[in-house]
Amino acid sequence: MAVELLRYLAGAFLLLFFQFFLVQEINFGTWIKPMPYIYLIFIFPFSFNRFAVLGTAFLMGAVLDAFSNTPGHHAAACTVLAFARIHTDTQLVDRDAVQLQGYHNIQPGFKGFTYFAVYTTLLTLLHHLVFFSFMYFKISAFFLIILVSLLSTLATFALMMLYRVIVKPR
Amino acid sequence: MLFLFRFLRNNLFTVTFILLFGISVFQILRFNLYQQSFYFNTSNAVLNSADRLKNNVTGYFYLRKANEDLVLENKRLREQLAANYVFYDTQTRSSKDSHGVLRYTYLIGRVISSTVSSQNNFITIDKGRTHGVRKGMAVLSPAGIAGIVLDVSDHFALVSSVLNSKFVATPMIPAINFREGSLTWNGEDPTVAQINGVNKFEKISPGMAVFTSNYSANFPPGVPIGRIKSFRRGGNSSFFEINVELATDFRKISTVYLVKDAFRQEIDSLAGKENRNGR
Repeated sequence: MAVELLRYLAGAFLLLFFQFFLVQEINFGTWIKPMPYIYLIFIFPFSFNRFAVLGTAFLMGAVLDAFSNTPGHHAAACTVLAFARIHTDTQLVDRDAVQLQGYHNIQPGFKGFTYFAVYTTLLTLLHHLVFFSFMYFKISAFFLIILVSLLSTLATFALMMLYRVIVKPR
Repeated sequence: MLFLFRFLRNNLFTVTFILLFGISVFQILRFNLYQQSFYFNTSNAVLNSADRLKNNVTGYFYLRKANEDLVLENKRLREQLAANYVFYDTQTRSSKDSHGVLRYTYLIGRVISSTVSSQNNFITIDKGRTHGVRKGMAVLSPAGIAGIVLDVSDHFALVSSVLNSKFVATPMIPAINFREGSLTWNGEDPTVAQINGVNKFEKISPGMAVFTSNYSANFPPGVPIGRIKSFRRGGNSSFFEINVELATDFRKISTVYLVKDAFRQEIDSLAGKENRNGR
């Protein structure tokens, strides 16, 4: 268990490093602000304590907030994402079927890539909507928030897939 | 009471979620409502060491651009040298204030980090309280205005750049003798800022130079802001919607000047007096 925890800690560190030193340095354009670091929240196994997942997500967001001068934005969005993921897993996903196939979380191998992609992008979109709502923080930017969230979700998903290729999941 | 405990026990997870989310939202609101920079103090030490590390690597990429900027600025300054001017009238002196006392002095800072992709962008620089940096000081780049000091630690300062939803400066367009209004950023293009307050009947054209106004509280007058890129008559409003191409490229900014205003305290205390009398 301790080894397992260390593995996720290392993953969190790597993802934050990736986000802060690489992704935030690249200018993808005005509308695209990808945040692939949230991949960590997707790879927690079902068996993990849900309070631990929620707390880790909050902490990870808070750390990134401290580094990128966005007070509370990442923390709020990550907390919502973790909460939504846990609820999706308990309500909508057949966890026993996933574990029977030998996976600890939703993988492309479970019900095909489309299922995995829809699951990931919808949750990512939720995270981005929360994040950009707080970032723009005005009603007049409603359509802007939706546009930026949609485009960023696609970019985030692509970068998460890239991360999967580089750091192979077990 | 028992009911409350039972409710908490049954919904502990949701309560935890609301608590954590509440903490985050509280931080966001505190920042947005009061514009306080309290948040930046807490993590300054870690933040700056991480940013420093990053800057040590990325700094090399922009050396050529930094050099070009400095050469251009040297040229501009050379042209302003007193030797270039001929004074016909011995009474005329080019002085920035009434007595010919030096008003603005400059402090050179190195940019440790600069963001452009957020709604509220900041620049971190390697000069702090020990070097004489104070809150509210104007920050210039070799090409033009850069921002205003938002928070200072002992060795670092956090600058709210022009690309920040909270930034406001007073622009001047000499071609139409305009020197009020406000310069803000709408959060879209990091190379373009907006000017509000220019009357629809003024004759403006793209390419007109924009400088800081002498009515500006923080900035010295006549610092380049940029050039008018495009403008539009907004529906019912009696003002133009003007886009200004910023002189400073915030993606490649590497050196800044902090402006020390010798009269700042005097002006502030005078303004304070006026406010008290006004009440």
